[in-house]
Amino acid sequence: MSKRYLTHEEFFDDTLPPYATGERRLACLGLQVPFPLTYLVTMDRHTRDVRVTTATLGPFSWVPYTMSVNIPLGDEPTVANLRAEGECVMALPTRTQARQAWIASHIYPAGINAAEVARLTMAPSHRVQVPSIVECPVNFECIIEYVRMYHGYGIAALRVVGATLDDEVLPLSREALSQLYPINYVGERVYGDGTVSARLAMMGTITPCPTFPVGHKQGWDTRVPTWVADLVAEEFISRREGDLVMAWLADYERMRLDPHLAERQDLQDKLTTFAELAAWGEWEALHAYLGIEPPEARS
Amino acid sequence: MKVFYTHDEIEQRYPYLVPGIEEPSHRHFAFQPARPANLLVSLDRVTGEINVSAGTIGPLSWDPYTIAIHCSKSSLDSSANIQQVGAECVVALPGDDIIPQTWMTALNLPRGVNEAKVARLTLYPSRLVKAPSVAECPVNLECVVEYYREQHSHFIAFLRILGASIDESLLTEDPDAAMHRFPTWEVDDVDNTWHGSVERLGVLGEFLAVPRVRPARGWGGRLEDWLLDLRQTGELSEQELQTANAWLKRWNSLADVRPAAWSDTGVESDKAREREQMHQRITRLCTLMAWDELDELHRLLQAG
Repeated sequence: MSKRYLTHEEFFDDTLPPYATGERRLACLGLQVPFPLTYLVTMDRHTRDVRVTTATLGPFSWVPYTMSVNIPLGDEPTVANLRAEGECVMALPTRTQARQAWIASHIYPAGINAAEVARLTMAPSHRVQVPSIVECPVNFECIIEYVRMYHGYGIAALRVVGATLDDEVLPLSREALSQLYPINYVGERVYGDGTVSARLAMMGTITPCPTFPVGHKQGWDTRVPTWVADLVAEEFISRREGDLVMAWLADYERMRLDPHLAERQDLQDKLTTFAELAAWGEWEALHAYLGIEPPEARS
Repeated sequence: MKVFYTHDEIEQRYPYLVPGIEEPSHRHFAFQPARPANLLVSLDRVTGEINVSAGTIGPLSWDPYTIAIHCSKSSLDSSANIQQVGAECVVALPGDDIIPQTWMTALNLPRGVNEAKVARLTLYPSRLVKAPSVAECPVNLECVVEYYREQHSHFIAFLRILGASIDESLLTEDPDAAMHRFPTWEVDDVDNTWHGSVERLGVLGEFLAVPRVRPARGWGGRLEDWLLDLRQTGELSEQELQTANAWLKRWNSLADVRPAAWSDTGVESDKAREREQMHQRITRLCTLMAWDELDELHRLLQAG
C-alpha cells in the first residue's frame, strides 16, 4: 500500500477555501478520528442557569468509570461552569436527535439554555443538582474531577456517580442499541454556499474478535502462564510442551532488561514464535518448533 | 420509565442478570459508548524494543491536532513507555480487515516481545518519530507525549500529532465511505464458552441526514455570526437584524443578574423581571432560527 506523508501544517492548508474538495482536504477528513457525541449539561454557580452544549467524549478509566469531554474555550460560559461547579450531566443523544445535537453545538449567550432552543426537556437528576435530559435514554450524573486547559480547549475529567437508563432500552439487543445511541461525530461538511452540516453516523457492522485459543479463555488480559495452562488443558499442546514454554519464560524474565545478551535474544525469539504460531492456530508448526513429540491422542 | 443505577451497579458485569436477558453484562454495555480503537506503537524506555498494543482514544483538540490515549495499568509495557513528556509513539488506526490481528496485539505478552511480529503486521519507518508505523493501518499518526497523569485504573497521555502517513487511496476515496472500513471501534464484549469475554469491534455504518444549518461558522458558531448570515442571505431585514442585536446587547447586560428565585432576598427586582422577559425573548429568537421557522421569527422581531 502506497503511503503519503503529511506534516501537521499540511493538515490545515489555509490557502484552501473551507469547502474545497481537493486531495488535501480529503486527507484531513480521513485523518480526523470520529468520536461519540454527548450533550453536556452544566449550571451557572451564580445565576443557577442551566446550560447545555454538545461535546465529544472519550474514555479515561473503567474503575471508577471516568470519561473526558473537550469544550472549546470560546464557549466561555460552559468552561466557567465546569471550573466553578463540581457537577454536570452527560446525556447521550439518539439517532432522532441529529438536528437537535447540531443546534446545541452552537455557542449561545450566557444564560441561554440550548436544550430549550433544541426543544429538549429537562428533568431533575438523582445524585447531582444539574438536571438531565428526558429525551436521552442514558444520562450520566457526574462529578467533575478536574479541568485542564489545553490548546484552546477545556478538557474535563468526569467521574460517573450514577446514571439513568430508559427501561425500554434494556431488552434491546446490542446491535439494536447501537442503532439507537450514541450518535458519533465524524466532522463537518462545508458547502460551496457557505452552509455547513455535521457528519454524524451510527455504528455499523460489529464483528467479534477471535477467542481462545487466540489468547487465554478469559479473553482480556491474556498472559503467557494462563494462556499456556489453557492450551494444555484443552490439549492444543502437551504438558511437556507447556512446561518448555514456561521454562523459556522464566529464563527470559530473569534477563529481559539486558538486551545485549545473546541468550535473551534467543529466548525472545522463541517466545515470539510460540505466541505467533499459537495465535494463528498453526499447531503442527508449533509442535515441530517446540521439538517435543505431541501427545498420542493428537498424532 | 427512567431507572436510576448507582456507579457500582453500572460497573457490575458479573454475575448480575437482567430478568429475561441471558447476557450477564448486557446492562453494563448500555452505559458504555463505543469508542475508536487504535494500535499504540511505542518503544521500551530501557531497551528501545518495539511494543504494539490495542487500545482506545479520546478527543482533545483539533488545531493543533491532539488526542488522548488511556492505558490500563495492567498494560505494563505501553503504560511505562508513554509516562514521559517527550516520549514518542505512533497511533495507528486499524480497519475491519485486520480485526484478528488487532486482537492479537491486545495479548499481554512479556516485555520485549514484539506484538506486531506475533500478529504478522508489517512495520515501516515513521518520518518524525522513532516508533515505527503499521503498514496495514490506513492512517498512522506520529505523536509526542505532551502531558500524562494517573487516572484511577489507567494512565492518560495527551498526544500531540506531529505528522501522519495515510494510504494514497484515501486521498481520492469518499471520506464517508472510508469510515465504513476504519477505524474500528471497541463496542462491547460477549461471553465465550468458558464464561470469558470476546471483544467485539465495529465500524461506522449509516450516516444521518443532518440539515444544512446556519451559522455558516459550523460547530461552535455564535449567535452574532448566525444573525449576520441570515442578514446576508436576505432572510432578515436590516431593521430585524438591528432589533435582534439590540435584544442581544440588553440580554448580555442582564445575564449576570441573579434571578429572583435564587436571589439572596428572594424578592423579585425590576432587573430580575426584565431578565426573565429577555431570557424568554432570546430563547424564542434562537429557537425560531434553529428550526427555520422564519415567518414566526419575522413576527417576533417586528413585534419587538
